[in-house]
Amino acid sequence: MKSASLILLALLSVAGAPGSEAQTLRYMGKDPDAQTGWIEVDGVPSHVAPGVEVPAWGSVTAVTDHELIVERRRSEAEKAKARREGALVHDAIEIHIPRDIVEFFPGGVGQRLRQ
Amino acid sequence: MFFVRHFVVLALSVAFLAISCPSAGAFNETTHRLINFRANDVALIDGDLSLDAFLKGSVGLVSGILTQFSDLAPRQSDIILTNNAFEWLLVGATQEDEPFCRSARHFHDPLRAWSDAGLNSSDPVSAALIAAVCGAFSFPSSAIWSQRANQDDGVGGPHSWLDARTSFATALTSVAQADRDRAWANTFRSIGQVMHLVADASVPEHVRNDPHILESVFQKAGLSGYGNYDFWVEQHPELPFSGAPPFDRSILRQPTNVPEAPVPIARLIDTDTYTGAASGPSVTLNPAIGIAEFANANFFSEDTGNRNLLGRNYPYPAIDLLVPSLHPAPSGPNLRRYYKKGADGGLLVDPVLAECVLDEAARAAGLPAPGTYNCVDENVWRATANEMVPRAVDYAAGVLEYFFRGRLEIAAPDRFAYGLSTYQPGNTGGFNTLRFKVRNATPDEDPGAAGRMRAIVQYRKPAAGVDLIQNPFASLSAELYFAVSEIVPDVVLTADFREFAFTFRPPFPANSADVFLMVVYEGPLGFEHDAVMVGGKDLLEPDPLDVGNATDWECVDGVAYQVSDFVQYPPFHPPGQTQRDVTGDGNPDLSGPAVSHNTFTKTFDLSQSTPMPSEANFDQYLPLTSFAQYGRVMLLQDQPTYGAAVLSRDVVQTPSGAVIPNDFRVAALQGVYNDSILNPRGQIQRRITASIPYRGLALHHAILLVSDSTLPCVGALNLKEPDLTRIPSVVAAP
Repeated sequence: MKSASLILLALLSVAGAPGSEAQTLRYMGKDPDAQTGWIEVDGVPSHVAPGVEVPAWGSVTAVTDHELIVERRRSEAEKAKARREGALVHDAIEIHIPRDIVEFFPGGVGQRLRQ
Repeated sequence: MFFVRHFVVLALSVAFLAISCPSAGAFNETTHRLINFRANDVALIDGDLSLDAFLKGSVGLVSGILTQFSDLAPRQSDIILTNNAFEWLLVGATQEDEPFCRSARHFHDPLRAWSDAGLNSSDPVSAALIAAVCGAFSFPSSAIWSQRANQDDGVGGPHSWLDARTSFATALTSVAQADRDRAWANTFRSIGQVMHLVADASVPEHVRNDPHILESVFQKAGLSGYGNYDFWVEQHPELPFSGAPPFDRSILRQPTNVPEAPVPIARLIDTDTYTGAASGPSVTLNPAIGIAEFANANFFSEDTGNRNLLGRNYPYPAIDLLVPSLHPAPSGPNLRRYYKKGADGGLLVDPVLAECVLDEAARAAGLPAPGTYNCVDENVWRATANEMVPRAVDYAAGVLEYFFRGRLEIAAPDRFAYGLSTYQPGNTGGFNTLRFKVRNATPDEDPGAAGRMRAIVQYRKPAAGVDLIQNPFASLSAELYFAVSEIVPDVVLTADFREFAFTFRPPFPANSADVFLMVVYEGPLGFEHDAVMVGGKDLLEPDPLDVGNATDWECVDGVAYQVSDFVQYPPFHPPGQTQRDVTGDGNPDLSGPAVSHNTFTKTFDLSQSTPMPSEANFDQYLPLTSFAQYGRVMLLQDQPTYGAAVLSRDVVQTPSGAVIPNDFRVAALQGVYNDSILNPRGQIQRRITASIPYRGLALHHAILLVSDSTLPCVGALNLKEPDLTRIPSVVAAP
């Protein structure tokens, strides 16, 4: 008999990203002992490292155990539009994409989380 | 010479009165701006923090000292409407001399009682002239003027230390950004004006009751006299503005015992250590000394290098102990007779006094008895400025350091979450209570008595009320919004953390971003009765904590099955009902759906031990969660990654009736960012944590009940139907 168990669903995919052309992005996780990791863009896996450009999302700036961080510069036109609309004007967007699934650890081994 | 000089003053006085008021301030405008400019470089708040870092870290000003503030109050036409914080300090540097008669309050004679230490010219000509223009013969000492409760007596408006304090409290606790901006502008301007007063006390004329207005009268009349220290310093930007031995900051923890100037900021000017002949000047070489005392004891002013018949005579520098010292005259080929300090116990200064230029000419012409009157000239001014200008910068920095010294530290409450609130549809709820710990982190100073405290939340709103969980990329308001809590009275802070609850009426919105928390204390600190302390913490954004049940779908070998459909997947009863054996091995592969009872979720700091959720220890409680249901609470916390512990008292698998008791799990969750930071390139960067769609919801993270075999394909279930339905949660007491 199978049993139900709690799992943590951290992030499965991303929608409504900065640009209208944005594609869904999943961060699958980091390679052990390296600053590289795996993502899936519209279901297509690829290997990323800091500096790699992810189309429609931006340039990868960090690959960690918990999240992928990409940065996207805003164009002058985007900034001018924000200014016209009375919105906060910023020069860049840093997007944090948590790792897609983080499995729960059974209670009592919380120490593992801190390592 | 004495009478010649005053004849000139009299002759010019009519023109002087007719044209305008001369600037009789000490340093001139440019010098004061440079001193305040450099003081900001030197100042280290509490010994370790620049003003820029303080503004960024403690009061949520992302651009720090470059943050722009508009002063919308009535103003003089030469003040620019909008300046950054740093520029307002420089505005203060110049405005303390406007109008002219304000500068008559920039004198402090450290050898007099403070009540009698201001300008009170004993030279009848100067006294008459000043009285004619400014309406009085005597004026308050700069040490007292800097702390006068009401400076608004027709000489440029209220910009004392007390006004700076009031403006600071207003800047921190006002709800409207325009009110805060105006108060910030006034804060920095007023601090700049107090810095001006301290810098003026480095000028010998200002600490030896010497009005020195002759050159100003000349200049205003379009003429040029011999010059004076103020004009000469202004014309020599190559002078050192740093390198002085720093004053001993402990003087700022000495009471003044002067009711009119109770704040120890006055000790920057006068510590009452140097008492003239009684103490001797050697005490001024100790760094725990006021700058007026140092200037008075070690330098001559324009008209105090001679024994006066009518005016005050100062014991030091000791004229009788001066030693001749020849130096080239400032211009021309001649050597001029100078004097350097002898062994009077004070600072060695060479030259400290000169023969007057007309005496030099008389001596060169062979006229008898030259050298009857001592003067100060360019060489003396240079020797003075080399010592005093860097000191002026250091002491002016002391104003900044002391003003912003009051530091509070914020820490998460014992329960971890600063705020907990019920989620409202459309994310329209809010937090009406924040709970956190506060301690006094000001080095070496305690409040000693009770004050009052408020919490302030600074945030931005999304454009057009867009739900930031649904669309975290929505534009944010350029304008900052502020929620100010009710006052917590009678607070006695110590160096140990103490937890407080702050109530917000109305609540501040859960649908907000760029959240920065401040706590402001108003009350006693050390010897300052009306101090302001502030602490800040950049919280992460309001965070939807979702706990739910998704056991209606299961995966086996990558294939999804809707197990809540009992028509397709009835309970496993072989040989008639074997639909749940999808692998054909004779055993059921599908176990759901399940129902969980009494699920408690508790968030925690991952650096702390893992808590056990229970009826008495939870953030969210769900009495019963059936499949395709979830509960949500809004959480406010301060960690990029935090822990969540979940306990379900019973998980019942519906088809079989099997019960899993006390299922306890722990996980790390990512905090939610949606803020603006300054990136390493000095640009404003928006930081956003993406949200995701999952079965009709938008969420940042969710704790979901699923079967073991489903884990590998959870990602394939995010578009499955039915949508998850939100059920009411019990939220812990705020």
